[in-house]
Amino acid sequence: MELNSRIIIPETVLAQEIDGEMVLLDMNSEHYFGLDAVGTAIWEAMQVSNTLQEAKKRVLDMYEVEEDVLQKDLAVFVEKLQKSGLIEVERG
Amino acid sequence: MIFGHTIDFVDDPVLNSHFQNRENSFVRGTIKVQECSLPHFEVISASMPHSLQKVRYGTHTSFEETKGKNAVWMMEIIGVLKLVWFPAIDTIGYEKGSGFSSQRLRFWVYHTFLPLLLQMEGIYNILHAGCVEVEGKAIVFIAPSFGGKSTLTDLFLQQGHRLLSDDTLAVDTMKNGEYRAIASWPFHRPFREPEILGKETEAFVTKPLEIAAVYRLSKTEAHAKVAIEEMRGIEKFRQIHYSSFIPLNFLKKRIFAFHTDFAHNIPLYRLSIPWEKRRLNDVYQTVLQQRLQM
Repeated sequence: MELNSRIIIPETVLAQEIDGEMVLLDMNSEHYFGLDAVGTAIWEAMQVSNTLQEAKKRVLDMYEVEEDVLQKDLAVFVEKLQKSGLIEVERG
Repeated sequence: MIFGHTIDFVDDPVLNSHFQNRENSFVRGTIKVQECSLPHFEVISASMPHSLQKVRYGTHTSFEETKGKNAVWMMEIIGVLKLVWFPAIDTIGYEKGSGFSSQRLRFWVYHTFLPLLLQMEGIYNILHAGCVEVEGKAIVFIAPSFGGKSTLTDLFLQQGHRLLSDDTLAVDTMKNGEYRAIASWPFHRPFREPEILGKETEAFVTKPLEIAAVYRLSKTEAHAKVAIEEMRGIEKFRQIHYSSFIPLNFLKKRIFAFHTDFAHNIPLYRLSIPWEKRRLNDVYQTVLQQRLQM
């Protein structure tokens, strides 16, 4: 995962938070997805960050977690979102 | 009043009879239902099952383009009747099929066509739900088909509460973020018979009521405890989403926004119901106690 990559959330992906969890709708595939509290925090961090590095720093500030553990989890999470068509990753 | 509207069956005033002696303090408008020559539609859907009939839809321009708003469109109950919405004159036109009857006309207008057009015109959002009045507010029951909605609304009616819906509920979103339940029709059907609205009831709410809570019904063993457990997060959305009236793909964005906002703002509880007639009073008392404590 390249940390200076930019995350783009397509306009066709709608997101709404409910009780700290996130519901996503991909208008293209017409599929719904759910993110738990941690996934929601990462999603929200990506929405306001320019790069994955920035998003990672925001999440590190929120949670007591080892940086390398977070980086691994973030890589898996980003790959899943990308495969589901919920984000696009633009290499920096 | 049906979904906040007066429905005028122009050709068959007997169908209007249950309005005449009721106080209608809230009427948003009048919709006429009248036999007439219907236009031909270029775009026709495949037929799909609905209430044990085959139904198909027609439109001049695809629903994806119009989103159903201000559009002339048709619902055909094959072999029974065709219904067409004429938005410019607030009229539902119809053409009789070989299986036509006045009762079937009223059923299809109230049960399916009217809530569909209200959803498409963006007037209300529609849920497949039962709803009764408790302490001046609306409480909503959701469940899959045969999941107990009619049983529970019947239970509350027997205890003296008033009906808003036992099948299809309109929800009005106010500017202050409050959600109001708009009653459907003054008929109750604690039995399953196709194309029948049910037995008319006088205990019917004729004005919008603020929605206090939603109960997702879950049947349990006859000896189990009645339980109410608050639901949270994505599961709330899922339950509201599964209670959609009819999935309209061309309105997915609007309906998603409603389902998520509604789930975010209205308390939703799982109500575990021991499925035994003698235990239903326990269910009633448990829900009532919770409402009185709120």
